[in-house]
Formats: sequence, C-alpha cells, structure tokens
Amino acid sequence: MMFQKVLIAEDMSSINTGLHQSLIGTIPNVITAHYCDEALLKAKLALQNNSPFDLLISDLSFTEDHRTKNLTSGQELIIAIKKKQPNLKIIVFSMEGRIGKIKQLLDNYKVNAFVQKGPEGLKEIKKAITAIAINDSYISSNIQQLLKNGDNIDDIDDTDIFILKLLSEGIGQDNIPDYLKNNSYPNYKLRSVQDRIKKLKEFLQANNSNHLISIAKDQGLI
Amino acid sequence: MNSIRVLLFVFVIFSIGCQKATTPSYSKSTLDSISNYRKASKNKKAFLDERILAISSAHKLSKKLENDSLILNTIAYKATLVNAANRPNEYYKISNQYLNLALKSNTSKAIGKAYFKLGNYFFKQNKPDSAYYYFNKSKEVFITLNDSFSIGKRLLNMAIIQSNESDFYGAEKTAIEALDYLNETNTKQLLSIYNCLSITTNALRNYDDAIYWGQKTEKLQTDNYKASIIKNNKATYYLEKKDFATSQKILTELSQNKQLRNKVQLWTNIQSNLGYTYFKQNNNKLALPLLKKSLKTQLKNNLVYETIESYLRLSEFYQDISNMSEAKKNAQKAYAVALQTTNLTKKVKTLKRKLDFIEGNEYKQLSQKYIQWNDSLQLTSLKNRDLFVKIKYETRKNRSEILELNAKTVAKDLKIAQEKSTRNTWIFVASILFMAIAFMIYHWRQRIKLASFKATQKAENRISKKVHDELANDISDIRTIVEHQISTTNPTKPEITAKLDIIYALTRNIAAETGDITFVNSFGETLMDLLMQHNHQGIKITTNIKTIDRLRLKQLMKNTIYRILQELMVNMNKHSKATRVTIALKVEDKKNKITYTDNGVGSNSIEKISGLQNAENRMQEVGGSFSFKTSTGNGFRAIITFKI
Repeated sequence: MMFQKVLIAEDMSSINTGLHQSLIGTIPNVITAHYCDEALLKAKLALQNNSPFDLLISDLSFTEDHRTKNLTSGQELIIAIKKKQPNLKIIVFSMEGRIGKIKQLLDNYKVNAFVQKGPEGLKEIKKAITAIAINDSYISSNIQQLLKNGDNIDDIDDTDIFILKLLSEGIGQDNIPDYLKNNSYPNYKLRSVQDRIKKLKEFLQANNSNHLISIAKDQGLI
Repeated sequence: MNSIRVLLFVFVIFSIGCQKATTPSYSKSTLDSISNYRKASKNKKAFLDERILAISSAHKLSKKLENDSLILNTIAYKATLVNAANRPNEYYKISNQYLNLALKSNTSKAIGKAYFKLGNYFFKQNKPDSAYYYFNKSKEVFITLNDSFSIGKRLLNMAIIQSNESDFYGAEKTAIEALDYLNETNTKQLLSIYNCLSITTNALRNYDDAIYWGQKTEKLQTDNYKASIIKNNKATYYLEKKDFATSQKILTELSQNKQLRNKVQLWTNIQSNLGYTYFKQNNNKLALPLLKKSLKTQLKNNLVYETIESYLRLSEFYQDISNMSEAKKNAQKAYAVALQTTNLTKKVKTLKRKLDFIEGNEYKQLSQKYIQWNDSLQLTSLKNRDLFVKIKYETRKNRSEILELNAKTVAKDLKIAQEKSTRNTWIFVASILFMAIAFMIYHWRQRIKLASFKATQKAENRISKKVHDELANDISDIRTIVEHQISTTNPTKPEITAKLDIIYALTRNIAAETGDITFVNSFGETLMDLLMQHNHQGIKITTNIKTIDRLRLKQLMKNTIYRILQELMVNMNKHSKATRVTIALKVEDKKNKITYTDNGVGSNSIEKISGLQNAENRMQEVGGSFSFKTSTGNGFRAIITFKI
C-alpha cells in the first residue's frame, strides 16, 4: 500500500517546503502544518470529511512563543492524534539523537519510523516511507549504528558477581551450583556455571581464574 | 524578602504619586490650553495644516510642564498628522525626535511606536531593508511588553516587505508567526496576512496552501471588487495546479459579474485567464478569441505587464497548434515589451521563451544574457534573504544579552538567599539547644540542595532546548541557503557545507549532553542507553550497571549519577583513545561504589579533566563522593561512592 494523503507538522518553513516538494511527486495529497495545534486541527477535519490522512510526518520540538498553545511538542501531538486515529502511521523527523527518547517513541508511543534530521534527511524520509508502507519499521542509519554499538557492551548480572565472589573466597567450581541454590539464586548446572566463568574471562580478558579474580577486584566489581 | 520588595515597590509608587499631587498650581490653566489644542488637532473637519499647528502648540506647552506622557503623546500625534499630510522629510525628523524623547524618558511603549514610525517612513521611501530593521526593532520592544496586537502588526509589515523582496520562505514564516499574535477581531490585519500568505505560498509553488489562504482572504473581504481580485488570483492557483475545471468554474462566474466590466485591468485578466484555461483543456475555439481580445484591450490601455503575459500565452497557444511563425512572432513581441520595463523577472521569463525560436549567433548571444540575468535574479533574492536573516539575528543577539543580564540578577538573588539561609542556620542552631531536633536540619538542608540542584538542571535544560531549537535549526537553515548559493554561483566549495555539518553535529551533541534525562524504563536501562549513546566508536564496555535497579535511589541521586557517568563517557571519547572500559557497581551495606576504569592514554593535563571537578561538587551535594586517578600512559580510573 502506498500512501495517499500525508500531513507534515514542522515549524521550519524551509524544511517544511523541502519535504512538501520532495513528496508531492509520489504522494498525491501533501498537506503542511507549522505548529501542533494546526496539525491536529487538519487531521480532525480530514477525519470528519471522511478523507483521513494515512501518514503523519512530525517534528518533535516546535519553537516557543509567548502565545499559549494547547500542544507544544511533537510527543503531545502524537498522543493526541493517536487518540483520534489509532491506526495512523507516523514518522518522526527530528534532530533528536538521544537513544532513550528514540526508544521511548518507538516502544511507548508506537511510532513507525524515526528519521534524524541532517544532510541525508530527505533521502531517509523516502526510505522510511517505502519501509513503513510494507509494515516495516525504519530508523535512521546513524541511530541504528548507535543501537548496534550496544552489542559491544558486555552485560554482567548479579549471578556473575556472586560467582566471582565465591571464586575469590576459594570455593571450587564444582561447589558453586550448591552455593547458588542455597542463596536463592536460580538453579544452575555446573555446565552453565563453567560457561559463565568462561564468558567472564573473555569479558575481562583474564588468562585463568586467579587472573580473573584479581582483575575483578582491581576494577571494583567485587 | 518578597514582602519587603513589594513594600518597597508600594512605597516608590506612593512617593511618585505624591510628587504629581504637588505640581505647581499655575499649571492648571496650561493643562487646560493643552487639552484645547489637542481637541483642535483631532478635529477631522479642519485642514491638516491647522491641526498640525494646534498639536505643535500643545507639544510646546507640554514641554514647559515637563510632563513626559503629554510630551510623548503630542509629538506622536504630530508625526501621524505630518505623515497624513504627506511630508516625508518632516515626518522623518519628528519621528526621530519622538524616538529620542521616548529613549530619554525610558518609555518602552513610546520607543516601540517611534521605531514603527521610522519603519513606516522607510517603507514609503522604498528602502525595504531599513524599514524591516525598524519594524523588527519595534516588534522586539513590544515582545517585552507582551502586546500581542502590536507584535502581530509589526510582523505583518515585515512579512509584506520580505514578500515584496522575493524572500518568500522568510515571508511565509514571518506571516505565520504574525498569525499567532492576532485574533479574529483584528480583521483588517488578518486579511492582509492571509493575502500575503496566499501570494508567498503561490510563489513557493505550494498551490494547495495558496488556495487555502486565498479562501480565508475571500471570507474576510467584504468589498466586492477586491473579493473578485482574490477570486481571480485563486483561479490562477488552480491553473498552476492544473485543476482546469475548477479554474474555469471560478472564471466563468467572474465573467458573469457585469459590474467588473469597467475595471479594465481585472476584467482583461479574467478574460485572459479564462482563455488560457480553455486552451489548456484543448478547447481552442473558445480560447483564441478570448486571448486575442484581452491582448487588444491591454494594449489600448497600456497595461504593460498584462500585455507581456498575453503575448507569452499566445505564443504558447500557437506553438501547441504547430503554427511556429506566429508562436515566434508573439514570443519576440513579449520580449520586446519586457525590455522596456525594469522588471528582471519578466525579462528572464520572456527571453526564455524567445530562446526556443532562434538559432545561430543570436541564440549564442542571448543565451549568455539569459544565464547572466538569471544568476543576478537568484542572487538578489538570496542577498535579500541573507540580509533579513542577519537583521533578525542581530536583534536576537540583543535579546540574549538581556537574558544574560536576567541570569546575573538570578545569581544575585541566589547569593542573597544564601546569606539569608546562613543566618537562618544560626537561629536554628540556637533552637537545637532547646529542642535537639537534628532530623529537621537534615531534612531542611536536603530541600535546599534539591532546590538548587533543580534550578541548575532547569537552567541546563532550558539552554539545551535553546541550543537545539534555535541554534541547530538556524545552522541547518544556513546550510540550505549556503548549499543553494554555492550551486548557483560557485560549484567548487563543498567544504563549507562539510564544515557546517560538523558544527551542526556539535550543537546537536551539546543539546544531547545537557538536555533533560528521559527515564524510559528502569534506571539501569536508562544508564545502558547512555553508554550506548556515547559509544560512538564501538569500544568494548563491560558493566554490571544494570543491577543498580535493585537499589532504591532518589531521583536526585539518579540524576547525579547519570550526569557523572555521562561526563566520564564524553571525556573518554574525546581524549582517552581507550579500547576497553569497565564500569563496575559494587553494592555494600553502608556505601555503594561505581568504579570506572579505562585503558586509555590517561592524562596529566588539568584542562582535560576540569569537567570532572564539577562531578566532585555534584556528588558532595548529594552526600556522596567522587575521586579519580590518572596519569599519562596509565589510563583513567574514577570512583563514585554513594549511600541510598
């Protein structure tokens, strides 16, 4: 399904116009709004006239002025518009780069795509549109890169720490499963305890168990 | 403190009141004559010269009385009357006097009005940049006064100037901004804005928007003739949009309005548009007579610009029916007429058409001319755009200086409050001797800390939002302008855009580093996001920080830990060249510890680690501690300790 009618909410005229120009060739009906209240109004009107929008492209932050507005941010607009039209597809087009915020948009606000503003912004918007037209989601490549960098973070949990502590107290690997059980940690077989120790050695670049303990102590884990 | 300030304020007002009450008694008769003169100056039946004389006398007497508000009122009205009498030089002089008086008495409203008058003068003198400058200054004054209507009116004037000077992007933005300040009762202003918007959006080829604003204009316009002009414009928007049926409908309706027949300019426009609409729908039989007839009338009435358009349309028509000689003839006529005008846009447009029909040397020569004209046309519009942006920036800079001043006052208030709080401490200590409620002190201190911390955070968030919303946006805007300029004038300098991209990324980073923290899921999750965010180069990080979730931390502590870890990561990215980082959380009964270790180059330079001094203060504020150890070649280690 390709989109028929799209609403752009963006306060910068140059970006607004740029988006309009680049979409008008592929989407028959492109409407623009310069602030959130205007966008919501146009969306409501379209619903009333039985020709609802099927895509919203919205910025997150809109410049403040002294006049009071009901909706002041893209988040508020998205919540308000989703209430009226839950199935509306949404692309957020923003300068936002904080992963927390972006995850929140995708997970909690259920937006379909996030495109970061920048030199490649318009190209990425087009990619995003093609992706969400076939029910995929889309995230800007540089954000995706950051998310991918998460793979480089080795996550150690409480069980790992407990195992390190036991090792440092001179307790042999064979006895560790019993200790875990007695201290209300989940049931582990020797095999998985060994796996964990092997993983920890890799994470901390330790050659053997003694080395591992000394590194863990040195780095403040135990 | 607040109550004292209010008292002081009341006192000041009271004393001013006293002064006024004790003005010498002889002034009563003077006041009467001033009032008589002012009445005379407002008598609309009298000649303008007489009215100006009357207000001048009132102004002179007001000066004698040294009554600021009367002095300002009288001179302002004098300026208005002089302007109505169409004496520009005098109007300029009086407006300047008005401005000086307003500045001397420090009356904001009058200052704003004086700037507006100067803006008006330059607008009438056809000096758009100066006019824009003064309208903008006037607007800034009224922003501080929170006077919506005046702000809206000034923005409207600025938008019209920008639109006249082909800065359509700027004009659209300014006009929309103006809309925000006006309400339904300001019909006259709204009408102008809607009209301005429909013109600019049309110029930006946003025909849907142009139609939308056109319709809004039409609704407000009560004058039959002016409404018809707007309808005719609307029809051309539909024409541009290639919605010929709607265009035809509007134009046919207008053609049936007999009252319009004696308005030659509008009438021939309607006829020509209708003819063109028929042509576009391949109804050549109806099209040609209409186009020819309107051209004839236009020639007879010496309507130059309309004549050019008609020739162009006829040329297009003949080309379509493959009558090349007629097409060429009309194109040449269009160009010849355009040459007699000073309008570069028309010259370029007609020349472009003519180029389709000529060959050889003439073609070579004229095409060079075309490129030259087209470039200078683009350049003027860009120059204007740059100019208006610059004027706006300069006043924005002024505003930021005011903000800075405000910040200084806040700092002073904080100091006073601090002094006061130390005094309070002594009173409290004395009372402990009697009551010994140490717990209360603890609680009280905690609250002050929280308040100051919150204040800093609020300030940071505000600055971040400003950097993000204004700076980054402006930079991206400039980038588009520069890119455009480069492509039209000099294609060999892409490094400017590359550099702008770097600055753009920097501002974005500042915004991300100081912006408010989003705690999406758990605190542990948020910290993991933070590590991910700053792990640009994909460095190996080993951490158990996620397990922090089993500690129940107060919001203040969470924020502090977040900021410090952020600082450490930023530092690591900037200077360390590390390849491995561990961030270890150790939970113990009395105190908890987060240890950060990296294997980077370390540092002896204080400059590079100065950001971390701040971390020390921050941790102390929430009752924890922060220490670090580093030396060149030995990596970096920091330890955060904190209680629950």
